[in-house]
Amino acid sequence: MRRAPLLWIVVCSVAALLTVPTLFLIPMSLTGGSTFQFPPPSWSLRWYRNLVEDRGWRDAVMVSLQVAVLSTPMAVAIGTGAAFGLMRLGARLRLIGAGALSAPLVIPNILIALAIYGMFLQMGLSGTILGLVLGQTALAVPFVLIAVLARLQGYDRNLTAAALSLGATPATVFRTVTFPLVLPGIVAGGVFAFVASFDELVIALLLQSPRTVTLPVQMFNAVVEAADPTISAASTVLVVVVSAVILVAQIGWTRRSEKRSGSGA
Amino acid sequence: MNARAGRLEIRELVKHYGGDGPAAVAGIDLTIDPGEFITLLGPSGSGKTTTLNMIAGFVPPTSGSILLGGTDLTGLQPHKRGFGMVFQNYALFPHMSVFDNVAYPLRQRGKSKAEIRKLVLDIVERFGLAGLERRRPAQLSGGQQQRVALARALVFSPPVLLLDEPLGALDRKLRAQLQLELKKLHQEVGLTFVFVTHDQDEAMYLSDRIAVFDEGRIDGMGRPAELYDDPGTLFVANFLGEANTFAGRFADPRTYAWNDEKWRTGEGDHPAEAVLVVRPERTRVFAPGEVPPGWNSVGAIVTDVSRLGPTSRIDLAFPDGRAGAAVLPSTDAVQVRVGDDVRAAWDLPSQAFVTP
Repeated sequence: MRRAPLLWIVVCSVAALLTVPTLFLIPMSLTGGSTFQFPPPSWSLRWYRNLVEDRGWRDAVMVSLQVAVLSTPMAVAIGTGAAFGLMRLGARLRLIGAGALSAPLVIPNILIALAIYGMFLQMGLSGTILGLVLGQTALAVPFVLIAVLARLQGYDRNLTAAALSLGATPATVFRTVTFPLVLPGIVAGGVFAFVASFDELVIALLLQSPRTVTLPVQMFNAVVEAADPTISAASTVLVVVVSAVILVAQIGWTRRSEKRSGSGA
Repeated sequence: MNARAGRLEIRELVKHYGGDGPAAVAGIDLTIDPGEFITLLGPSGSGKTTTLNMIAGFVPPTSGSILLGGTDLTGLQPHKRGFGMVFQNYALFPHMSVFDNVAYPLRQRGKSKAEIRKLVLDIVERFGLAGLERRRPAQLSGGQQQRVALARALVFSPPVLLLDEPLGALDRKLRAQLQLELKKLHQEVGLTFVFVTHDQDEAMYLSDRIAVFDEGRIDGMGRPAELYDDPGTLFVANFLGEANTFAGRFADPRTYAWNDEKWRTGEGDHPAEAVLVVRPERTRVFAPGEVPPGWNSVGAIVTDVSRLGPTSRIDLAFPDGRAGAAVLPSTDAVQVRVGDDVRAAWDLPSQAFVTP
């Protein structure tokens, strides 16, 4: 199928604008030198070795993964539950509720971080993994909420009525009809929540202790102190992890739908 | 698909949604015989859909009861009623194949895999859907989706099939075709059909009986032809087809007076306060002085003549300024021109008295 050449040019330009700066990271992380010289004078994996061997960097990756893996399911549970709850309210209350729960998207992160910092300090949660998980969960909830709510608003309630009329109990209706149809929203929300948590900086920066330095915090500190190309290697890891999560989710989803439509009798 | 049901009885059914507004359903009594095709007909907001939803169990009634074969279903949850239901937009499960959609009610009933397969393939074949079992609803035409919805609602042999404006979303031609299929289907399966629509032609075409809803009540009830010829109330007369209406009074029991006209009334009793109605296709148009003896007539001015093929429609203005119409065979209509002063006339069997 032929498409308008102008459209192609625009699409490619936008795609390039968005990805090329990121792609520069990769050759820079493979440099053999110890500066950000481009193109690299020689090639080497030494900065990746540094990332793995240096305790600070290695721990930061682990902490980030740990926090993201813990806060994602929490955000998914809270956001999905909130979305289902909001759907039972009137249009007005739903709007107010959704607005309040999405506040973290609008309020500057630094304000949220300060509020959380003050409170967690009193509660003894500052500098703990739990504190980080809770803080990042709060930031990630709106992503799940919005994705699930969008899916639910497109959900035809007659489907529930139809399933009931066909003899399914309310629990079965949820399991066989409502949940499968809302699942894409939950997965999409979960992916965004994971990504939001994995590269979150501000809260992690304020709540940091020597045991809870996340990858973005470690990168920030590295830039402030003395930048060496390890940060390029770390950035590359960050980009690859985040892209992989989104890609796997997307491919997995396409496969699943294809398989589903091929089954049946 | 055998009718194992008894009669469906609705007694003094009321639904009040709270607040100060009038009741959505204000006391409905309805007895539906097994195998009957009954249509709940009315404008939007008349309570017909609320009534259907109470029969299905989706809306709890404020008071009154619903019985099937003498068993009270009123408090029963929808999934325990076992009625088949077809929705306006079909409500097919978009994430399931045709096979899985039709198999859904059977799986809820714990049938064996072999039995499900046999029942589904049988009904799919019957509805002309063979070969489409693996398709998703989105890959089907509107007519095919409609048939899947019917197959899914009938595959578990429900005693009653509820249909909520199932043809509302279709274009005219497909609609006519599916009306025919629906009528044939009803004759084949012999189930009780409760059909909701706002389309009077559809109701007349399909139903054994029609219940005309207005403001939460049944305003008229009967076989389509009876209800059309003797509507009983002005609302039914106007909703079920078109009517020339004259709100006059009885000068004496055998004379009805309207404007300057005096009309003879037929034998039998009439309501004391009554409106005379005549259907356009039973109204004839004559030059003044040529009205056949024994006919009632009224002066009118021709405002429009339109040829509709075999019939022509003559729009009239009556002396009180109200509009009316006569529908004639086209051969008779050519003699009339716009602006003519005519007599609109009808014989006694063509007039009916209704309550205002």
